[in-house]
Amino acid sequence: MRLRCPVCHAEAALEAWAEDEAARELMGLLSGLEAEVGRPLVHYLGLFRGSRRALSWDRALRLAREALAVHADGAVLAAALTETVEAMRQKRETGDVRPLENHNYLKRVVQTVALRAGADAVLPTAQVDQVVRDRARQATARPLSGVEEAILAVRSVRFDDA
Amino acid sequence: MHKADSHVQQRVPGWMGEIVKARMERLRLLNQDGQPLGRSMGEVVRIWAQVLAARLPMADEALDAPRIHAAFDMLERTRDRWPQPANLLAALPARPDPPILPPPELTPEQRAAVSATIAELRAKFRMR
Repeated sequence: MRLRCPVCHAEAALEAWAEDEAARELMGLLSGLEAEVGRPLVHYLGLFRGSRRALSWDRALRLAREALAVHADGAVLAAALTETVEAMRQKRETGDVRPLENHNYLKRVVQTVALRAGADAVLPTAQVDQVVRDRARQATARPLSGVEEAILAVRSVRFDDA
Repeated sequence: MHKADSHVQQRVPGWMGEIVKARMERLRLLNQDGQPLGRSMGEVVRIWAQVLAARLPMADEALDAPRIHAAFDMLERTRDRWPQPANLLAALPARPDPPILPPPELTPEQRAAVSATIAELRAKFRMR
């Protein structure tokens, strides 16, 4: 049985693909994902393929694992992958067909999507984490009550040898 | 008013200040009429502590901390309006009495001298 990769259009027998350990692992990984994440992830991996070279299974597996680690929330990640693929597609339509080299663009899109969604999940970088925490704090911020102001004022008093 | 008489510059021992802070925080939570508003509470606490420290210039933590707590206990129990520092001072109990010493031991000579004196007084006042 011959299968054709919808992304890189490589064609080979299923048995041939299954012989490669990395390929088997990648297939196992993809089959365990929700479709809403798995589908855009496959397209995202295609963005790393150069115009002349197919993506090796080893590299595809590593990239897939890295991409999945970018964000803990599947919905955020799925949306970010979809937006990234779409953005890259538009970019390629303008003639820029350079393959992606890292996940930096995806990470930026994740930040945007996470902020838009108000996601509380732990984000990959300290910077993003801080942004989300600030946002959560702002969302719950309210003026202090008179009692709270008074208690804070009391606790801020310092005496000579305290 | 002479500066020396003023409590405004009174040094407040740390242990005393911490008691005043903790107890006034409790008082404030009682939400009484006349209570200080918001952030002014910090300065009110400082004034109370200075007034108290001026009243107890030789304060000793072991002896006086229980008294201060007792005074605040009294304010919490009895006041239905925000108290003044004078109310705290008025509620301050006396220091506990020092332990009573046993009577001094008399030597036989002293005892004999005392007996002789008593006998002499009895004879003088014709007591039997």
